[in-house]
Amino acid sequence: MMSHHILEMRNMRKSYSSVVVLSDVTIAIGEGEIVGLIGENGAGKSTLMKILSGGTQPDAGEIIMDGKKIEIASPIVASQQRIAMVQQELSLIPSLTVQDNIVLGREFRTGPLRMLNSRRNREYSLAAMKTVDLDVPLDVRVGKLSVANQQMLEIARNLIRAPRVLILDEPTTALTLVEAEALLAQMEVLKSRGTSIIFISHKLEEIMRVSDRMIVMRDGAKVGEVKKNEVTRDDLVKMMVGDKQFFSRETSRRYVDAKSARIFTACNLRRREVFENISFDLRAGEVLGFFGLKGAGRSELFTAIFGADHIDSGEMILDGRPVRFQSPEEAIKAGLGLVTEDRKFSGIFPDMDIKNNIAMSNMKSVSGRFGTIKKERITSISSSYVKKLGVKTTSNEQKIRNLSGGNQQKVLISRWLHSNSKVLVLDEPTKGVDIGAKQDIYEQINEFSREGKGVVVISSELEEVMLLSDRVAVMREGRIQAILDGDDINAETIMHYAAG
Amino acid sequence: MKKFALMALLGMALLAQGIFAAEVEFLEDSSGLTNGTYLQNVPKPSKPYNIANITRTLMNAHWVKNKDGFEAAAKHYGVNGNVFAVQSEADVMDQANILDTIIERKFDAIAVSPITEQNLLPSLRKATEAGIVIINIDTAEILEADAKANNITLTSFIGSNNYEAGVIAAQFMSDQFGSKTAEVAVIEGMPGDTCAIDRTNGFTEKAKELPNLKLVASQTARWDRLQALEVTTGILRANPDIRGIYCNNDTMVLGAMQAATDLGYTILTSDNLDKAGEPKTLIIIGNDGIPEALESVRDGALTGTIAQKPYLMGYAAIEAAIMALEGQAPEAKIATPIKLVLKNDWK
Amino acid sequence: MVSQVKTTTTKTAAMDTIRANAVILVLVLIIVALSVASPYFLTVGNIMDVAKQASINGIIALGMTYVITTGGIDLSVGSTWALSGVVGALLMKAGVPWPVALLGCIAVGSLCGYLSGLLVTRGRLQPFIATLATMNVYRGIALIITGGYTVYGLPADFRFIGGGVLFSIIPMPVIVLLLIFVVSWFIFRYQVLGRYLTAIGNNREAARLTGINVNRMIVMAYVYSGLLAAIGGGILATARISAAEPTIGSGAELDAIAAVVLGGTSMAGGNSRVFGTLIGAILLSAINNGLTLLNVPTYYKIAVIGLIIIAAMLIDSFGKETRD
Repeated sequence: MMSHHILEMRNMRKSYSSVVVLSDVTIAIGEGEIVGLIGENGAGKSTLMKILSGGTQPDAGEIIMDGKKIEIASPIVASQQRIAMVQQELSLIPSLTVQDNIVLGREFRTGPLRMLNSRRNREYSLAAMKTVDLDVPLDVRVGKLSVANQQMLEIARNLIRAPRVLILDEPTTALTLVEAEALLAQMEVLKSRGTSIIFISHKLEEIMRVSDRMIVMRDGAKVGEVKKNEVTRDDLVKMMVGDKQFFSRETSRRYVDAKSARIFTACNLRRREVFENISFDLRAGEVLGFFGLKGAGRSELFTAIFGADHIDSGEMILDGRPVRFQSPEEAIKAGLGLVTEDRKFSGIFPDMDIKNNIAMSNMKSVSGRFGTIKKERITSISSSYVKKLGVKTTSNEQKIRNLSGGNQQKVLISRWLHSNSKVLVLDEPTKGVDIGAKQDIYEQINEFSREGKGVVVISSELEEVMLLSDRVAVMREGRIQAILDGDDINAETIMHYAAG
Repeated sequence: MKKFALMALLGMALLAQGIFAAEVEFLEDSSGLTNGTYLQNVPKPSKPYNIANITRTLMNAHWVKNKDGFEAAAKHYGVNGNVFAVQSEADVMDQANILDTIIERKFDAIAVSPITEQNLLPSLRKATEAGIVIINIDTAEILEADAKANNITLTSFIGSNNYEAGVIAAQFMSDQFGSKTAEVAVIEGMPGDTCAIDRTNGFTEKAKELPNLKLVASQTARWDRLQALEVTTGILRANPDIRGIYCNNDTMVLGAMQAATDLGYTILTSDNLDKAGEPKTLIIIGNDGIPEALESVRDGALTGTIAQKPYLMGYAAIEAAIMALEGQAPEAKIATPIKLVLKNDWK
Repeated sequence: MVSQVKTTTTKTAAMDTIRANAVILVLVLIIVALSVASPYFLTVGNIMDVAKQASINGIIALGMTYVITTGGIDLSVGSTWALSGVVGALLMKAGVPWPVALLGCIAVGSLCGYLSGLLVTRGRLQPFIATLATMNVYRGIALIITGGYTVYGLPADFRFIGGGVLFSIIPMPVIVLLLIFVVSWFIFRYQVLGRYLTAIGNNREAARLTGINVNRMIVMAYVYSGLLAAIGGGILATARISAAEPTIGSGAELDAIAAVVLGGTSMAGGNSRVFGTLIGAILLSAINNGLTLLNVPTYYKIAVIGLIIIAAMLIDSFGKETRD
C-alpha cells in the first residue's frame, strides 16, 4: 500500500431505481500512482468514476482528498479539485474546431469587449496537443478527425489542465496499436511528474503493464486488489467473472466443410473511392472473419451490401438468386442481418424497452392481423432471448439505455436471431463489451453457425478473429488482400496482409 | 366542381349585397350624397388627373362597394380612376408590387387600403418621394408614427369612426332597457388591434356614463368565430343575467349569436325590443355589416349590426385627392357614416 | 457471486402514475382552484362546455402526437383545418350530399399531410421548415378558393355533428374525440405502426437499419396529422359554427403542440403519451374556460395561460428528475 494517499473514496453506495450499482466500495490512490480498475461492464467502475468526477452523487460514503473530506457536487467542483476524467463517450463538439474544443470553457480573452485572444488560445492549444504528441491542424472541425485523433484530443484537452488525478475510461478502445502504445508511454511520463491516474480498460495486457495496482470489481463490489506482477492474466479474468465457463478454440466446433452449400456470393463489388474488386463467398455454417486496420473499408462494404449505401457495380447471389438491395428493408426480407458497430448511433432504441428492441426487426412474428401486437408473444419471445444470451436485467420491460454496453449488445444480437437471418453480419460485436459478455456472444455466434447459417464477423481484434473464424478475409485500402484458412490463420500472416 | 362552387358562392354573396342595398336605405349607394358630392367645397379639377385605388380583393363585397364609389366619383368629376386589386387577402407582397408599378406610371394621386398596417410602407415612401398624393382608406389605418418613421406624407385617412361605433351600440342598448338596469358584455377583437381597442373603449366608456348599463364581462375572441362561440358561452354561464352583448365585429357576432341560441336565450329584434331586459332575452349587436350578419338581421336571428359605407369611402377618396391636387387641404381624418342596421330598416 | 439487491422502495402504483403524468396532477389542481374561484365552473353544463371546447384542439393534438413522436413537427395543421373545412363546405354549397362532402374534406386533410410528409422524407427538408411552408401554401389556397369569404348556410343535418348532443347530454365532438383517442391509444400501445413511429423517433438510423421503411412511416404520421386536423377542424369546427372560414385555425398548431407537450410527449421524439395529450387538451380548455368565467381581463389572461403552462412543465420536469 502507498504510504501517502492523496485521494480516498470510502464506503461508496449507489443505486438506480431498484438496482444496486455500488455496494460499499472503498478505494484509494497514491500520488504518482497508476491504479487499474477492472471488471465486467456493469460492475460499477464507470459509476464509481462518475461520482469522483462530479457527474453523479453517491447515496452514501465519503470522499477524502489530502486528508480532508470533500463534496464533489458537480463537474465544476471536480475540476476545481483538479480531478479530470476522459470519458468513454467523447465530450468533444464535432462542429467546433480543434482549437475551440481545447479552449472551450477557459478561453483567453482580452480588451474591454472581452474578445477572444486568438494568439494565446492558439499557444494554449498547441501546448495541449504537445502533451500527447498530437499533430492535426487547429482550425479543422473535430467531426472531420479520425476517432483515434478525437480520443487523443480529448486526452490532450484534459492533460493541459494539469490534473492531480486523471481518470481514463477505456481510452484505447478506439485507438490503433501504435496510438495506444503512445498513450501508455505518455501515462508513464505523467506518473513520473506525480499525476495519479485511474485507468479503466478491458484490455488486460495494457492494464497489467502500466498499473502499479489493480482493483477488480464485480456486481457493484470490490472483489480483489492486487499489485503489479502478483497475478497472471487468467487470475484476473477469474476474479472478474467468478465461476463462468469459457469459450475457447477447443470448445468451439466447426460446422462447415467443402460440401456445405454457398449461401452468399459477392462478385467484383465496387463503390468509388470506398471499395473495389470485392469478391468472396460464404458457406452454410461458416464463420467468415473480416479483419483490417481502421479505414480498410470493412464496415462500409457491409453497409453497402445491406442496402443502406449505394453500390456502383458488381453482383451478389443469395441462396442461388441474384440480389441487389435498395434498402435495408429489402435486405432483411431476403434474409440478411447486420449488427452495426456503433450501438448508440445505429443500433439501439434507447428509450424503448428490451422486448421491443428485440422484436423490432421482425414485428410480424409478434403481431396478428391489422398489425396488432400480441403482448404474450412479444414477452415470451424476448424473455427466451434474454435468458438464452444471459442479458443481465431486472425485467425485459427495462429501457435498453439503462443496460451496460455488453448487455445492450446481447439485446441487439437477439434482434437479429429473432429475425431469422440466413446471413448475419456482426460489425465489432464485442467492442466495449466485458469478458463475460464476450464469452456469451462467442457462444451465440457458434450456435448460429451450428444451425447452418452464415456468419460474417468484422473485427479489429486479432485474437477474436482468429478464435472465431473458419476463414479470414483481410482488407486493406478498400480491397480484399487475401482470404486465409487453415494454418494461414495466424497473427503474422494476417498482419502481413493487413499492414501491407 | 370547385370552380363551380366558387362561382355560385360569389354570385350569391354579391347578390345578397345588392338585395340589401335595394332593401335598406342606408346601404343604398346614393345615401349620403348630395347632388353627387359627399365632401364639401370640392373644386372642379383643372385637368383630368390620374388617380389610382390600390384596394384589397374584389372577391369581397366591401371592397367592391369601395371600388364602385371610387369609379362613380371619378366619372362625376371627370378624372381617371383606376382600381387595382389583389387576388386574396394573403397577397401582402403582391399589393406592394402593384403599388410600385403604379408609382412608375406617374399617377397624380393614390388611394390605398393596405392589407396590413405595414406591408405598403416601403412603397409609400417611394410614392411620397415622387410627390404623389396619398389617401389612406379604411382598415388598416397607417399609424402616424409609422408614416413619420418612413417619411411618408399622408393627405387624409378616410374610414369609419370606430370609437363612435362602440358608443352607438351602448347608447342603443341603454335606450331599449329604459328604466331597467341591465348587465352587458363586450366580445373584443384581437388584443392590441387599434380597431378593436377603439370599438371596445367606445362601448365601455359610454356604458359607464349610462346609469342603466352594468358592464360585467369583457373578453377577447381574437376576431374568431369559434372562439367567440366559446367565450360567449362561458360569459353567459358565469353571468346568466346579461341582457346585451356587443361584438367588435360581425365574424364574432355570428359565434356569439350561436352561443346564445344554444343556451336557450331569445335574441331580440326590432319586432320585440319592448321585451328588452326581460329574463332569457338578449340584445346582440355586431359591427361591419358583412352579408351573413345582415342576412341574420333581416331574418330576425340577430338584433343588429353597425354597418359602414364603403361606397362613400371610395367616393370621398376621389374628392379628397382632387382637393389636395388643387391646392386645398382636405380634412386629415374623414369619418364616413355608420349606422346600426335593424330588422325594421328593411322596407 | 454477489446477487443483485433490489431496494424496497415503497412507492404505490398511484404515486407512480401521478408522477408519470404530472399533467393530471396539474389538471386536478386547476379544477379545484377554479371550482373554488367560480361557482359556475363545476356545473354539468359548463363541464360539457369544457369537454366540447377541448375536443377540437384535442383531436388536432392527437394528430400532432403522431408527428412529434417521430421527432418531427407539423405547423400546417391550422391551415389544413381551414383548407379542408372550406373545401367540404364548398362541396356542400355546390349540392354534394353532406356525407360525401365530408369524405372530400377528409381527403383534402390527408392530402395536405401527405404532401408535408413527402417534403420531409423525399425532399429531406427539416419538418419545421417544410410545414412552415405548407402552412402558408394551404392557407393561401383556402383564401384563393373562397376569395377570403366565409362559406355559410350549411345543411342542418351536418351541423348536428358539431352542435348536437347524444343521450341528451354528451356533445357530439366529445364523442368523436374519445373515439379518436381510443384508436390512437390502441395504435401506440398495441400496433406495429405505433412501435415503428416510436423507434424512428428514438433512433432514426437504427430504425432504417432494422428494416423499417422509415420514409413511409413518417409520411404516415403526417397523413394522420392532416387527417385529424380535417376531422377536428375541417369537420367539427365547421359544423360547430355552421360556417367555414378560410382564416380560421391560425395559431391552432401552437395550441396543439402545447397540449402534446403538456401531456408529457417529448419534442425530441421517441416517446408518446396519448393519454397525456388528451389531458393536456382538457387542461388548456379548462384554463381558458375558467379565466373567461372569472372575466380575467384579456391582457392578464394571455399572461396567466403562459404562466400555467410553465408551471405545468416545471412540475413535469421535476417529476422526471425524481423518476430517474
